[in-house]
Amino acid sequence: MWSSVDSYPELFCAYASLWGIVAVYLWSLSAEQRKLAKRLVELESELTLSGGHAPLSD
Amino acid sequence: MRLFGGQGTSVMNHNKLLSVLIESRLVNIVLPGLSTIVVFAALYFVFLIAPNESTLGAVQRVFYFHVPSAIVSYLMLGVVLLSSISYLYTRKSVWDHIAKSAASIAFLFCCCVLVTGMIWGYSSWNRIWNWEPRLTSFLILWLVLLSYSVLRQYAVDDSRQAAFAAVLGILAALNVPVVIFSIKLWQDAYQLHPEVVAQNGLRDPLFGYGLIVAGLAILLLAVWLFLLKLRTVLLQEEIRSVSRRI
Amino acid sequence: MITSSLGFALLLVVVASISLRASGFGEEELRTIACGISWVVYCFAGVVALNLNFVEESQDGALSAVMASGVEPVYPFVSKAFVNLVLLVGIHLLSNLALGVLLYEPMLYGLGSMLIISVLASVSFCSLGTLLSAIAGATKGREIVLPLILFPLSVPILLASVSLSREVFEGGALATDGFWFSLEVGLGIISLALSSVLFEFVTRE
Repeated sequence: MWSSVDSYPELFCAYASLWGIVAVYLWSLSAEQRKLAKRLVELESELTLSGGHAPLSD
Repeated sequence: MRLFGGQGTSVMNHNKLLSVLIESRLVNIVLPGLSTIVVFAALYFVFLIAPNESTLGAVQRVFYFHVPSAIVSYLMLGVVLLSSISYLYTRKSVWDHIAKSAASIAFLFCCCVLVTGMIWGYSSWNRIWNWEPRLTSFLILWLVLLSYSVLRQYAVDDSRQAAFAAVLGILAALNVPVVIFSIKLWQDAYQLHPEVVAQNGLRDPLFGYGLIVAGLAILLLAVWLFLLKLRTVLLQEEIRSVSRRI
Repeated sequence: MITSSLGFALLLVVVASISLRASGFGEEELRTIACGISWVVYCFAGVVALNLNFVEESQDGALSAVMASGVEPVYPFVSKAFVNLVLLVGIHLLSNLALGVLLYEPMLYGLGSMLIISVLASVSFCSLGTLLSAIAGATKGREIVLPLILFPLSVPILLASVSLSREVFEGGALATDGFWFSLEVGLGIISLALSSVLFEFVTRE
């Protein structure tokens, strides 16, 4: 019923896919955080310049 | 902001949880370092120490990360359930953010389970998809998580959207055992999933140790990614809050 | 609303019948797939009906007014779900009639049993559908959001309904002591209870 012992190509393909998915997710998350952090710093300096009040804590 | 760290002093944030996530050593150094070490240890174990399973072949080694990914998906769905219920009762937005982050990680690992499952299935049955019960249950779970993210995407920015997502999160999480049960009965005749653990396939203790190490690796990775995602969600919320003040 | 939903269901039946006949399916194959087609039509026509029903209910703030009147949220929910149930059962009955005429004649002799299965399935489908249409109605792109959030959650209902219908056409009688019947009833009870409780959180401003 099961395939032969020699199924290494599929094994490496599976591992490459698994870690590829995780790597892509991690990369996109980091890129998004960098973008958001930059935007937040810009907004906060705009807020300071306009003399606005600091946002209240949650 | 550094890749895994934060310039806490230059970011004027009053959200305590966000400050903690930006500056915490756990999120920036400990978890990524530990996850990397344990993942490599697991890979070393899987490829160089664990023996080949005699009947299932080399592709069986996918099992070491396939099973923990499935367990982590279910765990994260449990987090979605608990945080959605907490949100509906307390109406504190932190629970909504936790639910959103947990759903994202559950979706990620669900994708991993489906992809590795299909490749393993192709190797074993010469077909990419076979309506095998467990894989089918994961397909439905994947669709449910996709629908959750669609709802989030189409949200109009008002206070009810968090409640909507919480309701859908509760329905989704409670529906999953029903889906598993009904699909199992539907496809009982086609039970092709290798019952490696149930049928005492793990005779060599090395199989068990490999599963534990890989399981720990996936769990650490999931926790770290969850905290990173939570940080992103909180950043988005902080930006929205600051924009409203300008 | 009724005519549009019914029209859509009949259109689905005609399209399915033409496609299957044109692909060369014989009588034996049609016996196997007719139940599946019936429930596919039910799902798609059901989503259209749920959407249209919700749009009508929300016009001029009618639903908000009902909720603001201080009535317990469970009452409007049950009444909406009941209306949806009657509508969907009616649409399913008529589309099964059309399927029997156009595609697979033995469907006409099983209409009674199919009606019972339809009612059971509609309890769960309409409970979930009413709750989720209230959610989808408050988002942009409600027409696409409702099927996307409803269909994955309806998979167990679909499995149970199709399996029960298949038993009707293979065995000739509705198997009320079987597992699928119990699952269908159980799903109805759970969906109704859960949706009634959660409806309050969805309509609270």
